[in-house]
Amino acid sequence: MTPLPEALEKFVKAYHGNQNLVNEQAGWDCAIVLVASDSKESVALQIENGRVDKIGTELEEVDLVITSNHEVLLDILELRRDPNEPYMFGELTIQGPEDHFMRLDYVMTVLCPV
Amino acid sequence: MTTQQKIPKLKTAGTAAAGRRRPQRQPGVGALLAAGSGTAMASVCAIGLFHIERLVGGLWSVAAVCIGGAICAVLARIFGRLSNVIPSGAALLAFVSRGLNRRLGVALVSPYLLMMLFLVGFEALIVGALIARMAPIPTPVGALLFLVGTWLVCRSGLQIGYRAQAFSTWTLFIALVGLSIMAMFHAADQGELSSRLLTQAPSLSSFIAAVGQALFLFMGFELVTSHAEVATKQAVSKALWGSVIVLTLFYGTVSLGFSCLDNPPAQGHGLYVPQLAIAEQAGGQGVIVMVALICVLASFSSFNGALLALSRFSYALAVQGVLPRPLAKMDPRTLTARAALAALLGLALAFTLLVYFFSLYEASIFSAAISAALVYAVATLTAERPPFRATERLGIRRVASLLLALGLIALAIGVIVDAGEDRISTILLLICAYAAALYAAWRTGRTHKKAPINVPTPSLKKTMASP
Repeated sequence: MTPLPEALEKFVKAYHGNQNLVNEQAGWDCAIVLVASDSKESVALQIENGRVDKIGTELEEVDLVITSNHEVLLDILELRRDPNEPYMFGELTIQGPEDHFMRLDYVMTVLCPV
Repeated sequence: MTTQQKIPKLKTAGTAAAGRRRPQRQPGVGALLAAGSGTAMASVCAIGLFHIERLVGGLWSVAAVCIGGAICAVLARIFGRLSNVIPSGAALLAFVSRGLNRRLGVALVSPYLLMMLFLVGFEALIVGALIARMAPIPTPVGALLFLVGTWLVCRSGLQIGYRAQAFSTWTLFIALVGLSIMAMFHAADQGELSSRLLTQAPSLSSFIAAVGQALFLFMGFELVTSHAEVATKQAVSKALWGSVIVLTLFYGTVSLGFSCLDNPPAQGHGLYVPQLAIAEQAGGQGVIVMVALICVLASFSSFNGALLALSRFSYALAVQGVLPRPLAKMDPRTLTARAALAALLGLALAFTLLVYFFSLYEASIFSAAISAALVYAVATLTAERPPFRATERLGIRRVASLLLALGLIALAIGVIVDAGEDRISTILLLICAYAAALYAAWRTGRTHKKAPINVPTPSLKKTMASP
């Protein structure tokens, strides 16, 4: 099974590859951790001024915690699924202010168009 | 490189923020209590309460409210358990989808949300009537101004904060409870208090209908669970209980006030706003204007939150193809689903016209009460299924849950039985709501997956790395 950091790095590459999208997120700072509820794996990323500045696991505090099972997180990071779907049906939960999730959701929707 | 490490904790107020944004303060029990109670304390609920009081009278209406409150207290525990397991802003849909399946989730929860939107039409007319007491503006025009004005605020991305919600909730509580107590003193001064409160016992079917309608008064209290993403589990559970207690006290007291109104209208009176009547009885134009302003503010804060939440819900369903794809657009600057907001405004306007021209005042309350009873029954049954079911639960508790669900269904039937001349329009409204829900459920397919993105795999690094 693809490790989460590998999938996350692919996602970041895709995101940074869309310069217009990155520019739209200027001013957005957010620390996010993705937690796989079944395998207990986690991976974090730090966004500074709209760009992903760091990826890894060494963050003490975050703005957003996203929890789901490993397969769903991989599907989302590899842009096979929109995060709204598992979220609406209770397969993905978030903790943290709604505006961070709305912005992340917007980014995902642009990268993974319907 | 994934490791089973300690999960980083969420930033809270007072923590040093990394970056430009200050971490938002987590809402406490008080803020959630105001939000949960305020959502349920809509102006339309005063009309529903007035109808209960006219149906069974005096202390019997208080008894109906208290029984409704007791049922909701049990439901508060159930919703607390559901939210503990799945702390999701998608709330009811997430719970039922996980407990049953997605299509059943959409089919069983959507009618409740549709009826909430339908009630917005009724609420808008009440606001129009309130505005008409303050300014020479016809009721339908006032309703239109309310809907469009709230929509414009939502479109800008502005959502009423917890403090503003708390202010409007507690102001409404104090105003109407205060006026109700004054009305009781007024009746006592006239020597009529006991005759107003100690009324003849209603028929069993009327009392059951009154209890079923009382559920409508609490409709929306469970939306406290939608704050689970920003609040602690303990705060959500306490706020659920607290909302039920606050609402029971509020409606019980205001019901007594309605019993002490001097000249209540007869049945079939069209749009009658009892909170204005009680204000008029208590004092002059100043009191009426004050109550009208407070009620409009409360309605605005509730509708603002509801419209934004429903727009995001509609947007999410549109992304999945359940609703038309043009609604799946998010404005990048305000992060609002503007297309969905516009569609909801259109629906709200249409519902307002329907309620106004077809006098669907009581039918909308009855159908909302029925949809609430049914969705609460579904939530009760969902709580007994994995992943929510506590394995150590005694069999007798599961039987009790089943009985509660059946009781809620019986209450829904009781509302229909006692609906009188509004029965047909009530049933028609429910048929429309459930038909739309079944269509949406049919369009809710299984998971849609696309091909993965084709990006060269970078080399993995062991520590925090810059991409």
